[in-house]
Order: sequence, then structure tokens, then C-alpha cells
Amino acid sequence: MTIIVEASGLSKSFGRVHALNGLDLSVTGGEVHGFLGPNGAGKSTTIRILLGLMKASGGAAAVFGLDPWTRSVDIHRRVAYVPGDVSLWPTLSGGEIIDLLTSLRGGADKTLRSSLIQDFEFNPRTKARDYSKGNRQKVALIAAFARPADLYVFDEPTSGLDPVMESVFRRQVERVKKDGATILLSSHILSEVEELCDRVTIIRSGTTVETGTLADLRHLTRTTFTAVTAADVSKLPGVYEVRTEGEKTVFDVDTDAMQPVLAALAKSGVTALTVAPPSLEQLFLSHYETQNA
Amino acid sequence: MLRLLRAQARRDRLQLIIWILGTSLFGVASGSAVIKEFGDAKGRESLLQLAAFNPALLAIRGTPDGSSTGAVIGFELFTYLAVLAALMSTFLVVRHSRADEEAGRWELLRSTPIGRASALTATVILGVLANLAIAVLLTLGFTATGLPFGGSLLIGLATGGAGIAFVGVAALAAQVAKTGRVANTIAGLGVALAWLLRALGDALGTPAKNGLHVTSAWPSWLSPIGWGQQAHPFGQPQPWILLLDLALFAVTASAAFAIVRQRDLGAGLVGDRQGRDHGRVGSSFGLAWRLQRGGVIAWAGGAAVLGLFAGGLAKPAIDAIKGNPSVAVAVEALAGKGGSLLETFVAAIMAFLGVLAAGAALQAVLRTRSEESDGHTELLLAGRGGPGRSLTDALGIAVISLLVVAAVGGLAAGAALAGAGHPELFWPAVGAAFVQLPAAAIFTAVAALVFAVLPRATVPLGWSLLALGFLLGQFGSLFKLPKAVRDISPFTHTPAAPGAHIDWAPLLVMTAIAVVVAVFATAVSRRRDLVS
Repeated sequence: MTIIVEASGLSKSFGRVHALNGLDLSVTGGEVHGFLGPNGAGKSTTIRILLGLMKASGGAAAVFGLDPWTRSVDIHRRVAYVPGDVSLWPTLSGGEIIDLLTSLRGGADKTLRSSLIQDFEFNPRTKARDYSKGNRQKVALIAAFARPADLYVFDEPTSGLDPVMESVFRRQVERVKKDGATILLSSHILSEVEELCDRVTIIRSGTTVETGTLADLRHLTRTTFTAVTAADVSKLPGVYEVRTEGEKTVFDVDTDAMQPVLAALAKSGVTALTVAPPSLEQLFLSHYETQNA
Repeated sequence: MLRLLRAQARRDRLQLIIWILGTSLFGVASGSAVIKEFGDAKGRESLLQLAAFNPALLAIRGTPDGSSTGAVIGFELFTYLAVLAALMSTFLVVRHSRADEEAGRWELLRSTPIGRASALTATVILGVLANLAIAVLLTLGFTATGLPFGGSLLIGLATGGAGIAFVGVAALAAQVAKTGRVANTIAGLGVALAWLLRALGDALGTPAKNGLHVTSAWPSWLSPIGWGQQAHPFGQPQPWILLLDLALFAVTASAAFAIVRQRDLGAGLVGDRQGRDHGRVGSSFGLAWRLQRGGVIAWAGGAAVLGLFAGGLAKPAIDAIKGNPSVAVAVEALAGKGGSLLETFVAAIMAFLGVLAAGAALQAVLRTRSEESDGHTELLLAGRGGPGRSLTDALGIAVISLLVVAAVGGLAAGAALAGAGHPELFWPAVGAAFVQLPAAAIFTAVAALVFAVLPRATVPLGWSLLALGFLLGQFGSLFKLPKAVRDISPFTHTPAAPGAHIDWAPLLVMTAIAVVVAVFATAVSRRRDLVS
């Protein structure tokens, strides 16, 4: 597998503020890579460094094996980018802006452009100053998807989009992935990442805290059991936060303690049992909580 | 790059055409007026002789350069043409560079394979082209009115040259500052400085014995506007001097490109300080003041410079005239209608202070409009904001701006005059500053009315009306425009002050008009929707 995006020990400071502090990120070809973190974690700064819009203060970064600062034009030839906060020229129409942005990248695929406009239910004739946030987002998304690229970079792409448009966006990501493109998707919307991404990197305060497939990361968290049982699980190793909800006992279990817990439950008898895998939400929260503590 | 250039030109199509045609038309129309008015050589000579020994006229016009029709046109108009071209360049460059970047539009552009400096390159090319268009139109226009082609070409190039120099200056300002507003202020101050330096140099210039030529003092040589005059379009042409414009352009533009290639997106050379962790602003008026106090201080700084200029220059200029008794008698006789020579000089400069005050107050109303179009007013709407409320606040800031500019400018002029040995003129100078305010207030009130009725036209119409009023006030009587036309401009009605007797009636009438229009505008704006 080729590495498309590689960053190691990346740091960036703005005066006294350290936005990035030794951030690592590795995106392999053909994958959808989720880039997760709370507000202000440094997601946008990382993306801007990878695109050569900002210069890293330290560490190394490469996109397609090229240095992002000195070779940004070569990188941009193969990249489509949608920034987190899309701002447009108020006196130009949406259609004009789409054509400007795509023509700077070599021109839009005409059939793609019109099918995208249809899918996103977008009116290209309106002047940009009259667009809502969601519609401004659509301009940038249509411009990004209307010309094939090797790497798509999305910075919180669906903020402002309604659920229907979010699903249009997901379909487009799946389409370009099928064509062999690589996608880096920054987000704090977990469902988006859960549905789309092959691997995720979680960052916090400018540092990478976790990276891997969703399956990998789930090993790190506990599974929630809800059972109606006579067994006293609270003494078992690897069991935490035992609480009673009516007649149900609810508790969390470490992944490697699963076996003895299941055995204990089976021995004492169970009349009802649900076992919930950790959602990304929990994964996310557990990271923040441990870091905050 | 060509595509970017086309896109920028398309965004600007209306605005640029108005700037280019407006500047050229102003030049050619005023030129024709001069030709009609001063058809005979006698009239032209007496005009120039009068000016050559009157530092006030030298400061607000330029230096006489012979008595040909073309030379008189150059004397009357050139500095204003150059200022218009320089301002066009400033706003054009900042609009497409720092303002775009600040709004986040460069982020979209710069993620395409165009190179870090391409957007700035396109902007600089557009700026140069716009100035060349002015140069060509002025050349053709002046030639068509019957002036020699060589001189027409040179005055056209001198105007475009000053504009091109400021394309570079503005490009550099846009790299240094982090916001479009600050970049515009820096480059705009550069234009004002260029004008003041040459006003200083010209006022201190040495007149030839026949009074048909004035050799500028050295400060004029520090100014791109001064360079255009020194090229002597209709005298003994020195076109090589215009290379100085190109040199300034080259130096500032290369510095701008060097910075833009090195810096992060969104960064300037001047960093941001940390803000307070708790707010002290608790009202919409407090917010308006917090947002605009920097601007008010900047305008007040300009007023201080202008006041010191008027007061400080008065004495050396008068001494120069006194050294030439025959002229002194003639000039004193002419000035005698309104007061002493010194008073006419101060009065002429005070008229500019009036425009400065009008600009400061106007900006308060225009800021309200940009707050609305940026969506900030909407934020406050929940706490009983809205266009009506924000307009009331803006008018409050406008009144403060008017008073501050007049007080600072008047006191500076008075202090400088007192320092130069004329303490008796201290209070008249301060009074003269305040006499300018009623006319200035009318522009604010009219802009408020535009804000209420045609919100989207507020900014372009606000500045255009002020520019028009200023030009009518400055040139209306000179070109013998019909009284009805001249009377449109409030500045026409401002009595000359300081002077022997000041006519209070127009001041009261203008103040009343300003108040009525402002109140009406506030009432109307309460009834209208927010307009993005």
C-alpha cells in the first residue's frame, strides 16, 4: 500500500500558542481516513500544513511523497479540497464560482458537474451573497467533486448540510473511493466517520492520541452489558461501574475480561442480556475524559 | 493566472469602469472648462501669477508650469487626478488580496494548482491595467479637447504612473496588515502623505520672477504625486522622472511578493495580541464604539497632521511673499475681501479639514452597513438590535467623530499658528474647524438615508457623494459652473473661516437639514428588513 499522506512529529506555533505538538498522521492510498478531534484540536491547521497553505514549525510532512510547502502546486494538481468555513465572492453566482474553482484545477467534467448540481439540489444562478451556509458548502463540494482527483481533503464537510444532503455527500465519497481515490475527512460528527471511514486518527491538543481501524480502536474500550441476572459480577476482575436500573444490572467490561464474565453469567443464570459494542461516541469520550482528568 | 485575472476583472466590472471613466471624465471635463474659461493668455497669466505667490493655492492645486492651456490644466487638476488613480489602486488591490484572504476566499483559491503568489500577481496586473486605461483615456480625451498630443500623453502617464506606484504600495500594505480594513488604512495614509508632502513642497516652492513657474521645494520630490508634476507634461517635458513611479512600484511589489511566498495563509507581519478574557462592552453603542474607536483615532491623527500643516506652513509662506513687496500688495488686495493673507491660507486648508471630518463621520455609517452585510447585526438582533438601532448608534459615533476631528484639527492648527507668532489666530483657527462641521454632517445624514432606503448602495454611494461634493466645492467656482449646480454641494455653503465676518445663516440651515434627514433616516430604517 502506498502512503499518500505522511506526517510525523508535526508542530506549529502561532506566537505563544502551540496549535500542533508532535502530530502523527498516515493515510494510505485508496482509504477513507477519518481525522477526528474536538474543536481547536488542530485539525484545520494540520490540513493547511498538508496543503502548503501554512508552513510547519517542526516535524516532517509529505503528500504524494512531496514536501507540501515547496511543492504545493504539484500537490494541488492532484487534490480537491473543501475548507471548513466556505466563504464566497458575494457578487458572483454559485455556478460562476464552481467554474472558476474547477477551471483553476484544469476544468470540470461537464456531465459530473450537472449531475452533482442535480443531486445536491443546487441553484447555480443565485448570487453567492444570498446563499445560506449549507448552500455555500455545496458550492465548494460540487467544485471538489466535479473534477476527478487523487486525494480529496474535506474539513468538516457536512456542517450546514441537512441529512438528505449528507447522504448525497456520502454517496459521492463512495463513488470517488471506488475510482481509487484517497479521502482525508476531518470531522467531529462521529456517525459520518463511522459509516465512511476505513481508518481513523484521533487528535487532541495538537497531538495524535490514537490511530487505527475502528475495530482496532474498539479493543481499547469496554463493552456495556445490560443483564437481568442473579450473578454478582461486581467482584470479577475487569468489570467496572456496576449499577442497577430497575431489575437490570448494567456494567462495563474490559475486552480481555469478556470470557470470565460471560462464564459467570452463564453459571448464575441470565433471563435477559444485551451487549452493546462501544460506539465511536464512547470511544471519543473516553479519550477526552482520560486526557482531561 | 489569466483565469484569475478574468475573474477579478469580472467581479470589479462595474466598480472599475466607474473609477476609470469617472477619473478620466473628471479630468477631461474640467480640462474643457479651463479651456473655455481661460481662453486668452492674459487671463491664464494673471491666474498663475496670483497662484505663484499664494502658498494656499500652491498647496491645494500644484505648481504653475507656464501659461499654455495645457499647463494651466495640469496646475489645476493633476494632483487630484493622481489622488483618484492612487485611491483606485489602493482599494482595488486590497479588495482582491487581503480582504479576500481575510474573508477566507483565498483558502479556496490557493488549494488549486496556481502557486502561492498567483492571486496577488493577477491583482497587480489588474491594477496596472486599470491605471493604463486611465492613462490612455486621459491622453485621448485631452488630445480631443485640442491639447498637444505629447503633453496629453505625459499627463496621462503621470496620472497612471502615480496609480501604478500605489498598486505596489497597497500590495505591500496588504501583506503587512492582517485585515483589509487596516491594509486600506495604511495605503490610504500613504496616499494622503504623498499629497501632503507635495502640498508642503509646492507651498514652500520658489516662484520665478514672472510668476508663471514655481520650482517645488524638496518635499515634493518625496511624493509619487510630486513626481508627476516634476515631469512637466506641458512645460519642458522630463518623462524619465516617471521612472521613479515604476521604481517605487517595483520595490514595493517585490517586497509584497517576497512576503506572500514566505508567509502562512492568513498571517500578516503584524501579529494579533491576545484579547481580554472578559468583555467590557455591554451595549450596542458600546460595541459600535469598541469597533470604531481605532478608526476615529486614525482620522483624528490625520486632522492633527493637517492642522499642524496649515498652522506651521503659514508663516514661512507669508514670509516668502513679504520678500516680494509688489506681489504682496496684489495678493493682499485680493485676499482683503475676506481677511488677511494668513487667514485665507488657513481657511483654504480648513476646507480640507471639513472633508476629513465628513469622511470620518461617513465611515461610522458605512461600518454599520458592513456590519449588517457581514451578518453581525443579525447576531445582535436577539438583544433588540436591528438596522434602526444600529443606525442610531452609528450616528452617535458619527457625531463624536465630527467633534473629535474638528477639535483636534482646530487645536493643532491654532497651536501651530500661536507657535509661529500668531497667538491671536488660535481661537479663530479652532472656530474655523468647527465651522466646517454642518456641511460635513449633511454627508453623514444623507448616507444614513441611503442606508435606510437602499442598503446595498450605502458604501459606493456614500463615498461617491462625498467625492463629488468635495470636487464641486473645490472646482465649481473655478470652472464657473452654474450656481444651481455648485449649490448642490454642502461645502459650497460653508463660509470662509477664519475671516472678517462669518455668515451664520447657512450653518444653521445646514445643521437643521442634517438633523432632519438623520431623524427621518432612523425612522425609515426601523421599518426595513435586514439585507445581507
